[in-house]
Parts: sequence; structure tokens; C-alpha cells
Amino acid sequence: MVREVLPATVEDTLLVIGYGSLMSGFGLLGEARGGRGRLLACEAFPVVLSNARRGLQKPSNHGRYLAMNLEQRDPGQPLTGRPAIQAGPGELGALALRFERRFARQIASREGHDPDQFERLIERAKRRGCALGDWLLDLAEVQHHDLQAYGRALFTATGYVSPGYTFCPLVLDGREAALVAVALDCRPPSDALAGVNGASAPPALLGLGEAAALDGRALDCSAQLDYIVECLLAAVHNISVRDLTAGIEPGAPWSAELQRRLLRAAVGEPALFLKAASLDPERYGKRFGKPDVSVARRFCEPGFPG
Amino acid sequence: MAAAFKSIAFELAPELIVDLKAIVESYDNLATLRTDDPERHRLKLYFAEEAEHDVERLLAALAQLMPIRRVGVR
Repeated sequence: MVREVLPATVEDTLLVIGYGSLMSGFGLLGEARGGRGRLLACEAFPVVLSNARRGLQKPSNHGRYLAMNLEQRDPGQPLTGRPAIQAGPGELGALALRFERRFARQIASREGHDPDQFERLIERAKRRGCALGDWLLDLAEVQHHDLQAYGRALFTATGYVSPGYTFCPLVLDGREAALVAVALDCRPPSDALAGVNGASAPPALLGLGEAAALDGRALDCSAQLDYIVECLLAAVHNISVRDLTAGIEPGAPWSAELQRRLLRAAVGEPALFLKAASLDPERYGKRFGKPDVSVARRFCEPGFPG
Repeated sequence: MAAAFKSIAFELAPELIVDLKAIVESYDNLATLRTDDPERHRLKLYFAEEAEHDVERLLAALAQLMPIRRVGVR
């Protein structure tokens, strides 16, 4: 179903894979941040990612909470994806977003990447006669798809390392290289980043339950819950977040408050998503099916999201 | 002076009532949902007069997501 409506490659656009807060209208429009970091895509369709695992790990650029990060399962293989709504075993649900070129600076800012440096990357690829994703994929292939090595090669090529996320290539349906923002520690060890807001990133990718239960001294627990809501709202659009919710304990101390925020946000989520993804209800229905706000209620039930 | 209360009656498919109840309860003290006529799946939302605008906005948003059929306002 989704494969039939996969849009053709559009010149002068940026195809970005959202796997955290970019998977919901609430997150794309920055509703929890007063509209800061708001992004409007010109196209969106569901994808499932392979050779990837995700979790909360990176101190956010926007507050004292942990944001999502992505890792390769096999560092010798590229991150890949295919347009689909049903995630198979080992696959992650995510959202492909196509943005007009004019949103480049906002995309960079949102990912904690210098906007000028991102503009330079795009121009550099253009001078080579290719899309940014294709150029980055060439770089990654030379490094045998080891993203840490890719990050160092990108640093060598550009002299810049992002204090936030680094744009990495993700091969979509074997034919187009999309961009996916990954937090890499790609400087030499002596020059390693200390982490945003003075905090060091935890060594492991955390599940949503683990992050919500973290000690609140260093983290803004309320902001953490809002961020988790931005991610979980993807389930309203039938995007699989099973990997994130696995291990959540029904009845955990924070779960009632998270559910309350999720329920309230879910009511407005379908309309926000249509707006953020420039979709009309008919195209939305063909790609995502019927919005399911009941996931917000079922959140704490075993087997969520079903 | 006693607070003025209002109510809105509507019908909703029974399988969706649990979702509606959870959503209404997530808006702390905004409104109370009661079953009015279980055989006709008729429900009633009770709320303070000053909450009417918020309740109407919520119902308008919910009407985009579930087939809520209003049957009267008192």
C-alpha cells in the first residue's frame, strides 16, 4: 500500500528520517516547546528501518532531558529502510519526511547542528552534482559503513563536528539516500565532546521506561515526559514503537502522568500531523490507515501498542 | 453563590466509551462523564458553565476521531 504512493525523488528537497520526536505532529510542530524548532514537511510516509536500534541517550539541545539516538546493529552494514507501516522482526517504525530546501537551516538547528555548516554540506554535494544523501553515502561506503569512522571522515572533509547530531546516510528502498540525524562521538578521543549542557551521555540506549525513571536531579523530568509523548504519539499513526515501549512496567510511578499527557496530546495529534506533513485525510489514510487514539489509553496495558 | 452546571448528551459506540472516558479524565476536573441511557449508548458530560468553551473545543476535536452524535444541550 505504502509502496504505491512512494513519491519520486524530488530535486532540491531534503529527505529526512524521523525516529524520535519527528514522528509526531506534536513533535514536528514543537507544541511542547511553544513552537520552537517547528518543522513543516511537504511530504511524509511511513518507513521501517533495518540494521538499527534506538533509545534515549543524547542530552537534548533543547532542555535537560535525554533525546533519541540511533545505532547500527551491524557497524559494517548501512542503515536501511523501506516504505511500510508494518514493522517486521528486528525492524523499527519511523517516518520519512521530505522538506523543501528552505527548511535546511531549521532542520539543522533542531538537530543541534550549525545551520551554516549544513548549508555548506548541501552546497558541497550540489557542486559534485549529487544530492546530499548520495554524497554522504559515498563517504560512508569508503568507511565500510562504520558510522563512527564516517563521522571522523566527515570531520576531516569539513573541519566541523556537530555538538548535536550528525547527518548520516540511510539507504531507503535501495534507491535513495535519506538523511538521518545520529549523535556520534566522532572526534579523536582527546577532543571528545563533553556532552550538551555539561552532562555526559549515558553509555547505553535507554528504553522510554528507563529514561522516565531516571533520577531527576540532573534531568527535567517534566520535559523528559513531554519528549517521550512526542515520540509515542507516532503510535497514533500506526507507526511501530514496540521497541521503545518494551520493558515499560505498568503501574510505574511516572506512568499515570505520562498517560495523562499522552491522552491529552493524542486528541489533537491527527490534525497536527496532517498540518506538519502537508497531508490531506485521503492521502493520510492510504499511507497510515486510520488514526488510533486508543493507543494513548492502552499505553500502560501489557503488549502496548498491540 | 452556587456554581452553574451544564450538560451535553450524546451517543457513542460502546467500544469507544472507554477511550472517551480516559481522555475526559485526563483533563483534570474539566468535566464528568456519566452514562445516561446504557441501552442507547447515551452519555452525558457534566461541567461548570465557565468550562463550556473548553468542553466544546474538546468535543469538536474528538468528533474528528470518533463518531460522537450530539442529542441535545441543556
